[in-house]
Amino acid sequence: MKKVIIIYLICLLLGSCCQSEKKTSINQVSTNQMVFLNYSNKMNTIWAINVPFKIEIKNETSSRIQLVGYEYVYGNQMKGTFSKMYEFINTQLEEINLKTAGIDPLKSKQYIVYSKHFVDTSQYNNDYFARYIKPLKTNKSKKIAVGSIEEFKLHYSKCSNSLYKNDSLKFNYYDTDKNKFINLKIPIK
Amino acid sequence: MGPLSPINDLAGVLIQQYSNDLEETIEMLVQQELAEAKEEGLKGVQSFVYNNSNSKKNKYDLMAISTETAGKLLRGEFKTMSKLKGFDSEIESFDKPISILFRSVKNPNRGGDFMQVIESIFLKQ
Repeated sequence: MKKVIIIYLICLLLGSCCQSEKKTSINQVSTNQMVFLNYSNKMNTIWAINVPFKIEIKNETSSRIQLVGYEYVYGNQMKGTFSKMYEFINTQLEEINLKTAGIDPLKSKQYIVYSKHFVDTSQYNNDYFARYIKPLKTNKSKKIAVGSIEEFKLHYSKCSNSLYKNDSLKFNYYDTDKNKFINLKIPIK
Repeated sequence: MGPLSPINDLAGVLIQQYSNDLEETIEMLVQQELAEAKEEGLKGVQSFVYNNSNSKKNKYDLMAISTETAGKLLRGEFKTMSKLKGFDSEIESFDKPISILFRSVKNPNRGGDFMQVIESIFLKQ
């Protein structure tokens, strides 16, 4: 009898291990959101570029997942600073609120993450971005839209080629049913 | 399940108990590892964060900030981590010499909310 119980227990354990589990997935999709240049009065130059990345997150699990954190990870720490994440609310982009940001079971959501890449000011100085310097100096917000990422690549191929090499996007979700963190990471294309 | 169903229930209870014990042990080991990593400085903590990104209760992370943001943080001027990040990303400087080790954890006092607890602050040498 004892043997039967042990075999039964082993079967139970094996059975619970083999269940195939549906997971949450992320994909990068193309976007025509604007790229922005940031001007610094202090440094008297363009110091950072905001690049948009559109992300689709699919929750294929049976529980609601809650967003806890996100990060645009630069290939090298000296390459940029904190990113911002936006979601579409009535076709308008609004910065995400971590308290309410979650995805219901079997639903998917699209987000825009704006990176903030530092500009190598020794290589790409005011002459390189000459076209935007004048409007930026008079612009109060010190920020100017320079077209979609495709247009930016076309005009500034030298600067954009190495811009997001080795970069990745990291999301941290919390599975509210299983009570555990889910980490998702994808390389930037 | 027929005649074996009581055994099934018993097995369930035993396995639950066992997995709870296991979880506690793992959590304890993680804490111990963290204490050792802190002694090794920023490098040690970096590898700790890299290896422990899947701890069940706590999610550890590191971030680099500027001295200006760190000053404001110590004066207690940020209420949330997003405010700190927002402030830091607006600072026109390429230098981020200070690293913060923090963990995200479910706030037991406020339903499903999450809070970030700062564990240590490291200075780059």
